[in-house]
Amino acid sequence: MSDYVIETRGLTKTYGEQHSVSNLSIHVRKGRIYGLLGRNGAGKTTTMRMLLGLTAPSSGDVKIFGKPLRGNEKNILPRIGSLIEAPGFYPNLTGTENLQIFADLRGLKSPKYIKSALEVVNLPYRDKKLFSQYSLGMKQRLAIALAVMHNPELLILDEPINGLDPIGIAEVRDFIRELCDATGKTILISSHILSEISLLADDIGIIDHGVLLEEESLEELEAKNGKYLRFTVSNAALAANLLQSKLGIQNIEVDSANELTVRDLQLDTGAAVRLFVDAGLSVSDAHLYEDTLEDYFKQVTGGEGIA
Amino acid sequence: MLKLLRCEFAKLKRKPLFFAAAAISALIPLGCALFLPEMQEFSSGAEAVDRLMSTLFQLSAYLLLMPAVVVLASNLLFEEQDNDTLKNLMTVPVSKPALALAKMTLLFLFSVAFMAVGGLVNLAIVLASGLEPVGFWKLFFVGIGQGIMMWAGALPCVLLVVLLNRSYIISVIITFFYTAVNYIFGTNDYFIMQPFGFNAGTLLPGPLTFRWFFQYLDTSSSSAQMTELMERISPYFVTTPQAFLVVILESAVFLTLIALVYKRQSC
Repeated sequence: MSDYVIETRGLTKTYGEQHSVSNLSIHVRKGRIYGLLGRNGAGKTTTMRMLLGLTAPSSGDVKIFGKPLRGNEKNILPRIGSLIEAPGFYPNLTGTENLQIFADLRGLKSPKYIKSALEVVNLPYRDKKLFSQYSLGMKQRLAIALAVMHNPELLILDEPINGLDPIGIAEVRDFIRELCDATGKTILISSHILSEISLLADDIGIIDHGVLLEEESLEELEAKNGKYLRFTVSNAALAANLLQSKLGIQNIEVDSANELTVRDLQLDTGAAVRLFVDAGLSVSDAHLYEDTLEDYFKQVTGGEGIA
Repeated sequence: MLKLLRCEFAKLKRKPLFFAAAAISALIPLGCALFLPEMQEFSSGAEAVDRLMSTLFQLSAYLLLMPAVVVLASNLLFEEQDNDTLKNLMTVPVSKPALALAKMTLLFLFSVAFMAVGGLVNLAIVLASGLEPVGFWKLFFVGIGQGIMMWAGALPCVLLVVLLNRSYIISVIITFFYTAVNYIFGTNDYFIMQPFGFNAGTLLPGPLTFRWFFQYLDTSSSSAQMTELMERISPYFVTTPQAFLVVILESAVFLTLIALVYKRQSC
């Protein structure tokens, strides 16, 4: 049996002529945090909606817990907690009353479920404040509480940190990490904020214009990140010449009159600096650089960076 | 289904529209008792009960209950989309047809409660006048029956509202047009003087309800005009089983259609 909690094959959603999601095949492993990374409008939410049966795919299959979602919704959906797009609750009710409705529908009789769900997102139990009076951050917290209230095995969270302040973001991040590490939950999280995904996810899928461009673990992606040495010297052209002739280094780019980049990491930085100094060049900087995930994102999406 | 219905009740908390709609059930009985002189001088308790309940059947039910049911239906059916809660319900999972039926059941209970409250207000007025409420309970239950018939009669209009999806202004216009048409048809000889069968007088809620409840009113001490009306239309009265057979069949058809249309709506 497959150890994927979520597996899609050729998942496609078209609205008229427009492909919102195209031939998407993602694989979410059990007990891992999978970060779906993409710009706004890349197809993340549509994908998540299809995974929850909220939007019917135009073609392709969704398997969750090893079973096709279609026809098994009654067995599969109660095992999932989700937060899709903006938090949706009844404005005339308090947070507790809102959760009470969904607890009743899920057959959760004990108030401890509501209490503990509110506790983990730092919202008060039986507060008098109505949902309509909540701030955006409080609304988002309540939506997270709803997603985790019934202790699901799988969480599908669409941009869960939207509207949270920096402390709230850190708390939610720690909480999600804790859920995965301590209770072994599988979490699919989407974001357009690259730093969040890189801080949280074990596996990353990069989606752009509805197409999954990359799907790898964070370690694999980090291993792909390019490393290079950059020197600032009094004469870059002469320095490049010296590296080629004396040390046999080939992969050199002269960026300007004073700057050069070496992509051959076999180069001993100390030896290079000594070579330059011995040749009468002055060296004002020698630095080892590493591409960030953002650089990689730009590279695979072939465009601008991401927040 | 019971769970869903309980949740529908929970969602009503602090909803002024619903409570305002419930409160108007007392409006016409109280208004008549306070401001109409003929509603303050009765020769007997039986006459008081008959005349007060008659206003409940002919005015409150037709002019207030039916539009209230449709307006509340649009509020209930669109609240999930307006508040973006449908996605949360669908992932529980809750089926959309079951949700729509729970909302219709809530309206059914509202209709029954509306007529019951109106009836009880009438009883209070009779008792406050120092009269004995002779024959009240029979008419009270006729009122409950009429509430059910008005609920069933409002379902075609609710279906239209669901079909129009979110267009509140058009929904309200349709509601008031439908209410007016039902009231006019319910008092028009052409519609009320038709035999029980597949015709407008049987299928339209206004005339059908009139042909059912009117036989329970005591017109023996009424005006000559009323007695003449009674003689003219009494051959066309429908029995309780006939009336409720139509109500059950129409409800089944329209509830199914409402559930199907609601199911198609996106979340």
